[in-house]
Amino acid sequence: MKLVDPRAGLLRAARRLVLVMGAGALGAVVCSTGVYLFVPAPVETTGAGQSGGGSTPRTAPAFTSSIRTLGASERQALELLRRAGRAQNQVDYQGTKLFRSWSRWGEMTTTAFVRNVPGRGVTVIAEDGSTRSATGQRVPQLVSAESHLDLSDETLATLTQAYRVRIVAAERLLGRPVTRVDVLRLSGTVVGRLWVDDATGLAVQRELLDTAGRVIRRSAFTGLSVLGPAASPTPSPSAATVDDCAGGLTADELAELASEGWDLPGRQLAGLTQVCARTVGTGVDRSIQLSYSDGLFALSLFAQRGRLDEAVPGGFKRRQVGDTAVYLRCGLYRELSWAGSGMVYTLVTDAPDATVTTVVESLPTVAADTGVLARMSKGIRRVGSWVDPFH
Amino acid sequence: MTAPRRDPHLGELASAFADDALDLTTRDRVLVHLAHCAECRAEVDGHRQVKARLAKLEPPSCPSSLLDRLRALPETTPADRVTPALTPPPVRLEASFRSVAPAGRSTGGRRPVAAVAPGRRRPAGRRTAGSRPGGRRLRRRVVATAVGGVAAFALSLGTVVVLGGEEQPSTVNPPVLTYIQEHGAVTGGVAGGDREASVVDVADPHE
Repeated sequence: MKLVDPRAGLLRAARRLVLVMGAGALGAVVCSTGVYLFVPAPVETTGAGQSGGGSTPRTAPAFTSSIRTLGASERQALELLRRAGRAQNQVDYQGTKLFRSWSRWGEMTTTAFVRNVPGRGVTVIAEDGSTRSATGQRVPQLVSAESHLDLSDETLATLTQAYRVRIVAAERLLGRPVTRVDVLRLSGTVVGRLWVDDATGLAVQRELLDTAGRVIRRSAFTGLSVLGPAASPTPSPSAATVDDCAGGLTADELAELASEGWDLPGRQLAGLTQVCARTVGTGVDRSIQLSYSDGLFALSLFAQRGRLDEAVPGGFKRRQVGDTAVYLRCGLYRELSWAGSGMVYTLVTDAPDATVTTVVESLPTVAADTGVLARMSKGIRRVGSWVDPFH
Repeated sequence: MTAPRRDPHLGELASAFADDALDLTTRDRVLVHLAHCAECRAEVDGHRQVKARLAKLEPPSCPSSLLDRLRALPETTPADRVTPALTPPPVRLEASFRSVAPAGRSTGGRRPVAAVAPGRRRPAGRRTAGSRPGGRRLRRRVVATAVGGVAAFALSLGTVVVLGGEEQPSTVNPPVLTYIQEHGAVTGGVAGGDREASVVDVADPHE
């Protein structure tokens, strides 16, 4: 009987295995190289309603100069609006204020006691008696400083590009003489109304309307006590900024975010122009805030990477906006969260429902390509990134 | 340096010649050899006589069970490999008949009959090239390698495709109250905006 050395068999089997696996791996490497070279990086398909040109290079946020020539009456109305913007920083006042908001998804009415000290900030005592500073923290006393609430020339330029303003009439509110300023679409329909106190310049009442002429938002003093006169000479309006966009992101930084897979809209969103792009929070809580305005309405879109927690946040309800399932809360703002393509978006706005729907339907701007070739390409690049120290 | 050429004998080619199983080239060479080799002529005659006598015999009866067992035997057995040749090959045939091969075999083959190792020697014309154990083993190896290669290839591609799948993103819970504050901070200066509203909204007891 012939004896067979088991080690020899094992060695032979091992040799064959190495040969076979080597041949297969070689084939896979050849095919992968082919895919890597000839299949473009995972192609994203443009979603319906893309509004911002998500894949286009972004430029630094900037207002567009008005090209419309303003008449004398309109300039006078703009000056009243500018004065209303400055008054918050100059007038010491307190009072009760009514806030109302309507939308197709619900409405909210609330009142609050408001105390404003120029240079120190505004403190709100809500219905439940809790005291909050402008940062939203429950505090026993004023701690926050308000600033940058002026209406700059740029803001007004944006406003007059989309709207016309006019002084309508002199009226009385809360026993005080006020001037009513209307904001109209270029078509002539009223979209906003402000009642500016003649003595202090405070906007004692504001209303925003939708395209159907319905009031969708109102804030009005129900009681007002002016505790101190207007402060000293006001700074030049053009020197003031419209917002507090500290730490704003540059165009290069936004482009880098886009290359990292952040699906963000561009400079235009639902007809509004980007006025601020900045980072909020750090680490896993990092969000990108993109704020847009047309000078009258404003919206802020907050984008995060990840998927939306299935637990509905307190105060929110599941709703369907267009084809998108959202978590929605109808506070004084329309507040919505929804997810798509690895992004979670949260919208905070006072804009009409139609604008909200447009924004929700336009994001995400891309849909992930789940084809086999795209997945192969992505996988090959991922493996490549493991061995490429510069990737 | 070559050995002096000596006249070889036909050996088992005599049997193949008697069976008329040689190709034309080999047959011609054998005929040339027979023309001056009485010994081989006698051997060929002997083969022919045996063949003629065998042809006249009645076929032996064979039990069907034996036939079944014979059919069941593998074509190559271990004994087949280790059994030494009973008749050693003609030593010098290799030199003269290197290209000699029985009819039906390629003369350009890499293993002519005379070059077959003693332990593996088989009568000429018994098996076709495709039925050789070595060829079968080679074919089996090729098939196994191909199958293994395809499997390894599929495994590699599958791994890449799986790796190319969407990463399971982390769950996020948007800090909406913070967002409202940030919105108010940035857009409070807009004509339709109201800085206080963002504070009041956050203070909503429904939060």
